Amino acid sequence: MKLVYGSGSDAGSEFTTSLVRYAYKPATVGETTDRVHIRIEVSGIRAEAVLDTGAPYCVMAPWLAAVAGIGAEGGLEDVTMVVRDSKITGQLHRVQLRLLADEGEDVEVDAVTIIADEREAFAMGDLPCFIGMRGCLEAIRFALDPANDLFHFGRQE
Amino acid sequence: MSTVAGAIEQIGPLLEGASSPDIGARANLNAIVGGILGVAESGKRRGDAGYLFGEAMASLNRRDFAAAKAALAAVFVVQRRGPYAVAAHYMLGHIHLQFGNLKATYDEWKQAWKLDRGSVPIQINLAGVLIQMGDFDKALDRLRRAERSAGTRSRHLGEILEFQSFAYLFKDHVDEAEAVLFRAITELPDRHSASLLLSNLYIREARRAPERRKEMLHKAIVPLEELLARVPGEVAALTNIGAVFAEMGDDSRAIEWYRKALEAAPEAEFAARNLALALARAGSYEECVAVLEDLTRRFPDDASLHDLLGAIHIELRRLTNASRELRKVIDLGAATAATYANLGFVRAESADFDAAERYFRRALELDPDLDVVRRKVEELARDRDAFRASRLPKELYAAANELEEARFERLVRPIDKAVWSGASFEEAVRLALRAGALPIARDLARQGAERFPENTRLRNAVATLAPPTARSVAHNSRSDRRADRDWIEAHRDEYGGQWVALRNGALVAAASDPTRLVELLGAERDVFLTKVA
Repeated sequence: MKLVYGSGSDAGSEFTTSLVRYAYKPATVGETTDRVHIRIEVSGIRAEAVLDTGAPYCVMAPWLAAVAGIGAEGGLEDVTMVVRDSKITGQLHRVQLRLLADEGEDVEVDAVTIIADEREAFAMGDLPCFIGMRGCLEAIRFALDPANDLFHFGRQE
Repeated sequence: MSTVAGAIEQIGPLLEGASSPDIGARANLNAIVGGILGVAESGKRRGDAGYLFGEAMASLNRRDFAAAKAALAAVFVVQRRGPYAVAAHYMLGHIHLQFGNLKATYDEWKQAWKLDRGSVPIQINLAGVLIQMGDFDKALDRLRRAERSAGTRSRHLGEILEFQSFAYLFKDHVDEAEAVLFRAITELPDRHSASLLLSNLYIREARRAPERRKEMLHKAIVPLEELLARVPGEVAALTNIGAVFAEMGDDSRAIEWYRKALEAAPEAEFAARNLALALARAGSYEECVAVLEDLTRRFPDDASLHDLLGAIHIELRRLTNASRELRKVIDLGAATAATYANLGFVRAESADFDAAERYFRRALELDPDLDVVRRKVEELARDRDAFRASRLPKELYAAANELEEARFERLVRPIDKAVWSGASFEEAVRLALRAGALPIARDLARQGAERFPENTRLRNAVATLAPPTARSVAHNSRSDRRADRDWIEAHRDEYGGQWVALRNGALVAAASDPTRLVELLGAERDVFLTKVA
């Protein structure tokens, strides 16, 4: 199901092209607040990721980055950010990650991503990946349908 | 450096229930003295034993030990053998106990017991002092005699059995200690402390014998669960189950139990302290701060709480708060090398390099083996050079290191960048990223690379920070998501806590952590990786 503009100069043109049913659940066992989880794919490995419009970057655990052949070192600067109550330190890399769709096409984004430092990987604990607003979601259009747990998305024209 | 790790190093979870004989407790003193004297008497004349004893009690309540001792000495002049003499000996023993003088305590209580051989509480406390003095056999002998005097229906039986368990435990007769506690639990099911002590005994054994650690920790939960079955919501049992999970290294389950304890009793101190430590270890810093701030309000002079809170604020990049808490530790006279190291870290992050160096050197004076601090001192010289070369204002460092994106932007925008060197741009990009200000970092990198096109670091920054691009790609996933979800539901019990790789609802591989799972997969792809909750 595609979303289209209903009025204005873009009326009738596509807003989003794809959708996926998201899981609404805590990010970790200990958490009590539910988060929107979508599925992503990195180099053929699929994993769950939390949609976090408050995060300045995407965050990826070193084990998933390793699948894409990216080490924790060799990126740009040591960056620290606090995600969902946890401090994460790592270096910035560009990572090709794919947002998986149930309907429509997948969308691939070369996202600005913190690869969590191995030495501080404990801080990631069982945290999933985080899809941040800047460096990733800013490249697409998206909308949430909470009544049906649907995440609509598509690349920007 | 790992600031939190330094602050919580070697702090184990606190266990509710005594870990040594609880002799000389204030309530115990009043109860025993009350027992010795019978119904409180009043209207005594000055110079009576009762009057003098009352004076001693009042002095003791004011913690004026010298006056209490003088009044008690006067009691003996008036009465050498009566109940006030017994109580006076007992109270003198207590005063010696306050100063850690066990031998003098023992002598006074023995005098009291000689004057009142029927007193079971005095006998029990004498045994307690003997245990603390290391004379376990003599303590056990006294406890056996106390049990005979008291009889099996005595309200003192629980205390007698628990003191016996301590004596056996410290003698290293663990089986006997365990048997005595089993008996206490069976015969006195309303006495919760025996269950706590039995659990603590297993935790102690787990710490002592690594090869039996797992077995002992699992055993430690059993008496606590049984206690909870009898007394749902028993706070000490809830807290200690959390502590057992913390010992197992399972902080998320420990946190669940500590939270249950605090739901049952919001003021439960051990549960709150343990929760703070577990949250710190688990990296749940925001909640940890909330718990610690509540604890520091209740216990403002507890330096360890301020120390940990300071370290957590550093992790959250709240450097002003961190500095405030760590300064309190110094003011309380309890600063350790880690405290000074953390303060050095805070000052270095604010580009206050001289103060940072002073704190680091103080940390090294206290602990010369702190290699991480020694390295930090060496790095300071480099950081100081970079700071001077960049000619950026100090305020930018503070804003960046406290993750204050808006403040950073307000500070950096008006600066005239025409005078900046390549190093200035590099440093400004680094600080902007630290502040979480990606658009500013992107802009600064672009400006810098235009001005200094030969600067590879700036060119690399431009490439890494460029706005992301998106493209639609054909839907290539062959895996059936519903089938994967069904597999997880069907195997939750079997694989709970494990990481699994699934394809079309079939298990491809499983491991205890994701890194190991990726290793097992090798070149295998088109799989869904998740942790079974």
